[in-house]
Amino acid sequence: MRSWTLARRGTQGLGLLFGLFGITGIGMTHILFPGLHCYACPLAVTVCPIGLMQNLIVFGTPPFFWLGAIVAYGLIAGRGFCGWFCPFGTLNDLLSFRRVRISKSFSYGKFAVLLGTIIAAWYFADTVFCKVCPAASIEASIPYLLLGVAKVNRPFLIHMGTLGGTIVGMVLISRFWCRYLCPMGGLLALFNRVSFLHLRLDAERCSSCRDCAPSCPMGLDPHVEHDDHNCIKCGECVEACQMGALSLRYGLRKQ
Amino acid sequence: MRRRQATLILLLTFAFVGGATGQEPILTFSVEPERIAVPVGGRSEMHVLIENASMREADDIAVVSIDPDLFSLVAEPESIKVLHPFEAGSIPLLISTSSEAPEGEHTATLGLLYTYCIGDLCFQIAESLDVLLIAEPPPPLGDGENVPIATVKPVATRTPPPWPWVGFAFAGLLVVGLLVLKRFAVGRRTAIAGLVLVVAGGLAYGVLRDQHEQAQGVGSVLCTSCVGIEEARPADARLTPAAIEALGALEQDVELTVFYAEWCHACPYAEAVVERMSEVTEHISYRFIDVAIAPDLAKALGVVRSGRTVVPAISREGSSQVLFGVEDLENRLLEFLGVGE
Repeated sequence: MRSWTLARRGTQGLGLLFGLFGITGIGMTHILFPGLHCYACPLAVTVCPIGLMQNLIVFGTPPFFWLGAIVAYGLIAGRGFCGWFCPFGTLNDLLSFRRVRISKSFSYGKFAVLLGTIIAAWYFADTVFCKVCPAASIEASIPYLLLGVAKVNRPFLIHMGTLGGTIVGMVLISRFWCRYLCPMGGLLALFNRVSFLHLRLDAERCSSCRDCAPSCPMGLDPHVEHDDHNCIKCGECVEACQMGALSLRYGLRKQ
Repeated sequence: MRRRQATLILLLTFAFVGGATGQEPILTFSVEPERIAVPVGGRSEMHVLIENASMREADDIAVVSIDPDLFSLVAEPESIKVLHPFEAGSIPLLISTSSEAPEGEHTATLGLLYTYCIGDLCFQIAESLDVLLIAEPPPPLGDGENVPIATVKPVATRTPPPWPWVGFAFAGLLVVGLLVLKRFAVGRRTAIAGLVLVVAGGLAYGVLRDQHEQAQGVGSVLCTSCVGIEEARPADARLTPAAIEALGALEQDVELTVFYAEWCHACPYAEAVVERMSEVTEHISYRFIDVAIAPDLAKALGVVRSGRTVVPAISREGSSQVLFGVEDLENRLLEFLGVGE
């Protein structure tokens, strides 16, 4: 296995471990998870930013702490968290069989989902998105069913419906959820172009051979879209580039 | 470019500061019902409704006096410890009328006190509220004696917050993010410098306001309706005629404890159902316990397990059984009380 991929599998494993750290019995912490991870998961120790955001709207709390944490994650890695840490992103990765070209228009769908989540939380005074979130389906609904706490009722079936649809999408289109629908991805994408983790292109080395394009799980053309809000900075293109024109860097970018 | 930077800063300012103002009353009060019939020499119940339309948190809201002396407050009314921004609440009052009060309309004045803080500066606000009381001939003996004084609890009801505050914050974030994304507002380094300030300011001020504790609180309450454990909470807490009839068969005294958490969406429904049941039969008394205030008791009863809070939970004095959730609560409670089918 190539070095970036190996490193990424390691951090994805850490993300999964962090997500399930409740097995130690430490209980819920104050930390916001930098990805989509349901805090209702029986083993969760971190707070889901999207769930918290909805609760803050419902209870009318100005989101200072939330905003600080989200912008911090945005600056630290932006959508790099999707590629390197998020457990639901990892599931997307594992089901990435068909790396088709991204639809740029539909990729704004995640911003629409984010905005819809905000509006629905305000309008219905409830955490509406949580009730359809596929991460909650797999990390909370199914475990609680197996534990005998949940039962097959309407909300459970809704969860299974969204999870099933998302999995079909993931199988047909690599990183389907991350590309088009994830509100957390939408949040982090807002900061993708200023985050310290970034993909750099050495234009002098690039021969425009497009060897990098088929390797991108997000369906981008990295040699021209290395600064795109959809880039999850996974490094697959770095390894695919024979010319060494693409590299993953950390720090301030050159203007 | 400068104008765009100024716009960006203005948006951030709106998002973070909102409409901060100095020392002013921040609550509005009203009473329900607007005209209260009070039996001469007897008691009547009313509610003071409180609305916090400001962005400040109001603390220790209490009704402290009533004028003139013809009327008095029965026992010390419970106070509302915290009323969050854009939240509404109510304080139940029992008003006693002197046997010397002449029949007819009287205007009584309630004295109210509360505090709120802006940073380290705290203000105590005293306000008065006029109430129209209609003194009526006393009812036959026995009426007005069954009001459960000890079980009446101030209830905070939540209303959707208005856009001007929460909307600004989220819209501000989206706009700022999109500006950064599109790179048509500011250079990358300027944007990063601004965002670092947002991180430092947001986290520091958030922690100062205990919002990290709030995040933990939200995370630790299991939203049962979110993950398919039960159906979404019902909105109407009225009892069915069958339940009212079944409660009539209850013969022994029962004390129920309802565990709730501040961030529990379904808890107000469970509280309301228990309240309605106690109104039907005098054999039911109850108390509401915030799990954050009594964690040991909550842990002992399994309401808090492995750091996860499962509320609402209803326990019964003298029994180790605990009812969780709100699905089919009326029937399960009747069964719990031994009067179910």
